[in-house]
Amino acid sequence: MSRFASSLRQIAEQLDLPQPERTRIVLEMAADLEDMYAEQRRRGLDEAAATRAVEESLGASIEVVSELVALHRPRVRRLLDRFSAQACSRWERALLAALVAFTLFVAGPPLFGARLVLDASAFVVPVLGAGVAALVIGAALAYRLFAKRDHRSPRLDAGLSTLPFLAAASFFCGSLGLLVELYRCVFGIAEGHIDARSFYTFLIGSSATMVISLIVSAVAAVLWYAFASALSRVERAEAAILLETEP
Amino acid sequence: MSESKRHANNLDRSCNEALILAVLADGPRHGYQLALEIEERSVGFFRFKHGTLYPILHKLEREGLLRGDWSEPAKTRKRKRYTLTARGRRELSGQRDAWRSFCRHFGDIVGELGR
Repeated sequence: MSRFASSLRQIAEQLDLPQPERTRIVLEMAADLEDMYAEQRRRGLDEAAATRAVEESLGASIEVVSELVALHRPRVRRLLDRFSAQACSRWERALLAALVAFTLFVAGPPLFGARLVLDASAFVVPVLGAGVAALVIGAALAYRLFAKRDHRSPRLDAGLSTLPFLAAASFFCGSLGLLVELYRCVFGIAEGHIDARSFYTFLIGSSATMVISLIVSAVAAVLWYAFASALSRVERAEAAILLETEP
Repeated sequence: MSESKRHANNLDRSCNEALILAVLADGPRHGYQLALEIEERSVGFFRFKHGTLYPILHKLEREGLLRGDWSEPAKTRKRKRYTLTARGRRELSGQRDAWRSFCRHFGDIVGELGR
């Protein structure tokens, strides 16, 4: 419990930022305020005067809060926030679970056969690379967050930021592969280099590549969502203790 | 914001950044330690309203001039400590040269007007 809980709560309410940024800023301020209070007491002020002095010194004006918001909320993050750790309601999680279950049930058997990978074009290589990287990062994040319980590591942030990038990269590679193979195939048929039946080979290869790239994108996106939500819950709980609010 | 206020803010901001980088060159500090040390070393001339420190620190961290690490000293709250990076040291060196040059030229003119 902080003696400055009400001041910090006011600042937290003004900080229009997603978690965990908002909580981290408030926690940083809280620790410093306690130090400042101890220093004022050391200088001879009584409790009330020291508390007043610290609250005046905080000086978190509208301008300061606006600057903090502008610093911590880049445009890409604003877009991702629509789908991010804030979306922790029961309905959103149920919808996500239903979507995953439907996908697995309807498309399941072909998705888990080696045939899909063997049929895919060369563009599946970077896609699979992105998939492996996403799984490795996911494992590392899980270890750091749940086993080591270290939710402030810069590596955690770096790992979380990489997952959406891998999702996008996978989708890009799949789409690029589709278009490049289409161009090659149609050009070849037009020039008479290859048989028109090769179009079927192109369709099989490109659609297999695209399916794999979408699966990898979805996996990376779900991992990011899950870990961002978990991190947000941990930090919200910490802030709730500090600010004496409900998490 | 008027043009003159914007220039004053830019100068103010540049000065504050240079002060923070210079203090961190001596070793890592928490936010409040920084403000306290700047005040003590300037004998009260530079005094931060504590809230204004955070946008500056976070901006410098974002630019890679500082690195913020969370530590958990025994029995106390988790704290964020800032350390000057190699890039920060280069920036500090540049800022020192710029401010020396500024002070010299400013003094040349103000000194002349003051006679």
